[in-house]
Amino acid sequence: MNASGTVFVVDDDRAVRDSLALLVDSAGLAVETFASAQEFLDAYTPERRGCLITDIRMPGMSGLELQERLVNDDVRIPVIVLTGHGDVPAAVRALKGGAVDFVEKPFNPQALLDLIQQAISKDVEVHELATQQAQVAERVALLTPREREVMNLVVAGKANKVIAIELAISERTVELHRGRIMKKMKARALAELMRMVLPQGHVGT
Amino acid sequence: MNRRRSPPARVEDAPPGAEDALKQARERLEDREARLNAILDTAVDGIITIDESGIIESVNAATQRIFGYQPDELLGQNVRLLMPEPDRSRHDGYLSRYLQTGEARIIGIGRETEALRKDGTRFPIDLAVSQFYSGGRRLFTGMVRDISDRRRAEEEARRRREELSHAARLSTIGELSSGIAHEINQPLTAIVSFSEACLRMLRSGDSDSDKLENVLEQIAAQGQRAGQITRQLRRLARKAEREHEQVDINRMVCDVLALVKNELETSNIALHLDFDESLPPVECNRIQLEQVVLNLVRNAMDALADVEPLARELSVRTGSGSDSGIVLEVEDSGGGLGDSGPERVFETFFTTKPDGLGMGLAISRTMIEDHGGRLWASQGAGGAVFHVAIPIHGRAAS
Repeated sequence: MNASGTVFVVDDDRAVRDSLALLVDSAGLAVETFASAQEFLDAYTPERRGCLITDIRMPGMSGLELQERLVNDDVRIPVIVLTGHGDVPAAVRALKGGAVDFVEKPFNPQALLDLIQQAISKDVEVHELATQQAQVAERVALLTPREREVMNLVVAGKANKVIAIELAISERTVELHRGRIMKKMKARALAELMRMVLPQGHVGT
Repeated sequence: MNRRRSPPARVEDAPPGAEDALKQARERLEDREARLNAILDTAVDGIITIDESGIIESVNAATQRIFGYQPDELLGQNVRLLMPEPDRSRHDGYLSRYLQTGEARIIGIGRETEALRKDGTRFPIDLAVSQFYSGGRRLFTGMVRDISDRRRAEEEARRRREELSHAARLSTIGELSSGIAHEINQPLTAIVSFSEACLRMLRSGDSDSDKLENVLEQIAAQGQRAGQITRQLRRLARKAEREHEQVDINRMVCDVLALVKNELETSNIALHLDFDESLPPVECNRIQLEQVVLNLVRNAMDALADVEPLARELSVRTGSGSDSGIVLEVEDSGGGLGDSGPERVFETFFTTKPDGLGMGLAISRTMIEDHGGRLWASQGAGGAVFHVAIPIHGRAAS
C-alpha cells in the first residue's frame, strides 16, 4: 500500500526536524517541516492528504494544544505524537484526543515509518470514502421524488413488474425511470448502483 | 510586692487633733498600696524599680518567678545581677551616661535584649523602662517580659521554612534529571533518524557520497551535542554551591532520613542506625553531601521494593576511616549488585530500574570526589553496601 500523501513534521528542535525529514524522504514520501504549531496551521489546508508528526513539548502552542485545535476545527488529519521521557500522561491525553499513536524519543525509525504509512493510508481511505459519499449525495439530489421511490424499490431487489404494481404505474414507465436513474447516478449496472447507494444509507423516503 | 523598708513614720510626734486625720490618711494610703500591690503581683511581666545608682528598690512576684530569685536576694542589690555580659559590666555606665546627658537608649523606648536567671541561663526578654520621681529622688521602673516561648516559636517556624526549602532543593534534582533526559533525547532522536536515513539511502543504491557525507557530519554534530549536555551537567554538579561548612555527619544523616521517614514506614523498611557519636564535624558542602546520602538511601529503598516486606532492612552507619577521615555506609537487604559488579553501577546512564536514568550514582561520585573523598560499592551479606569516605578537612573546591 503505497499511499501518496505528505508527512507534516512539527518540532521546535531543528536537528530532530531535519533528521525526520531525511528519514521520511528516504522512504520515498513527501515531507514538509515546521518549527512551530502556528507555522503548520498557517500553511496547512484541510484538503491535503497525509499525516502530522508533532512533538509534545514545544514553546508556544504545544503538540497537545495543536491536536485539540485541529479536532475543534474538524480537521481529521491523523496525528502521531512524539513524546519525551516521563511524558506518558500527556501521551495518554493525546491518544484520548484522537491521536493515531505516540512514539517516545528516541524512537525506532522503522517503527515510525510503518506508523506513518498506516496513518497516510488511513487518511487517504477516509478521504476517498468521504469524497464518494459526497458524490453520491450530489447525484441523489438530482433525482425526482418519483425516481427516488423507484430507486429504493430497485435496490431492494424488486422486479420491474412488482414495482409497477406497487406504484400503480405501467411496467414501461418503471423501465423509463430506471434508465434515467442509472444515467443520473452514473451507474453502469445494477450492482454498481447498489454498491453506491446501500452502504451509505442514501436511500431515504 | 516587696520593697526595701523605710523608717516608719512616727505618729506620736503629730500635733494633737491631727491624729485622726493622719490615721485616715494612712488608712487610705494603705488601701491604695494594697490595691497597687495586688495589681503589681498579678502582673505577668516582671516589674523592677531601681534608683539612680542601679540599686533594686522593689520587685513584684513575677520577677521572682521569671528570674528564680527570692525577693531578699534582689532587694538592695545592683540590677546588673539580672544581666548577662556584656550588659552586666556596662550597666553602671549606661546609667551614669543617661544621668549626665539625658540621652535615652532604652528609657521610654524599650527593646528586646537578654537577661540572666539565678541558675545562670540566659533568656530573651522584652524590656521597657520608664522613670519617675518620688520624694525628690529619681527612680526607674523596668517591665520585663520573658519572650523565650515566642522566640522558640519563631525559631521553630524558621527551621520549618528552612526544612521545606531544603526539601524543595533536593527534589529539584529529580526534576532536573527529567529535563536532562529530554535534552539528551533530542540529539539521540536526530542521530537515530539520520542513521536510518543513511542506511536506506545506501540500500536503495542512492549512495551519492556528498549527500551521505553531509548526513554523517550531522550525526557527528548531534553526538557532540549530547556530550556537551553531559559535560554541562558535570559542571553544574561541581559548581553548585562551593561554600563549605562544618557539618555534623550524624545529624546530617538524620535530617536526610527525616525527609524519607514516611516512605520508609509505608514501605515497611526497618531502619538500623549505627552512629559513631565521637566523630568530629566534617568540612564539606552540606547540600551536596545530603544529596549523595539521599540518593544512596533512595537507591536502597528502590532495591528493597522487590524484597518481601518482612525482610526489608536499611542500615546507615558512620565511623572514622583511615587518614583521619570519616566513613559513611548505606547497606540494604535488597538484591545486591548482581552480575553488574561494583563499578558498573557508577557508569553514567547505567541503571537497573525501569524508570531510572542512571545518573544518580555517577553524579554522587563526582560530588564526593570533589570533596577529596571516595564513593564505592561492595557486596554485603544481604544486599549492596555503598561506602562514602571523606576527609574531615575537605579539599577546598578550586
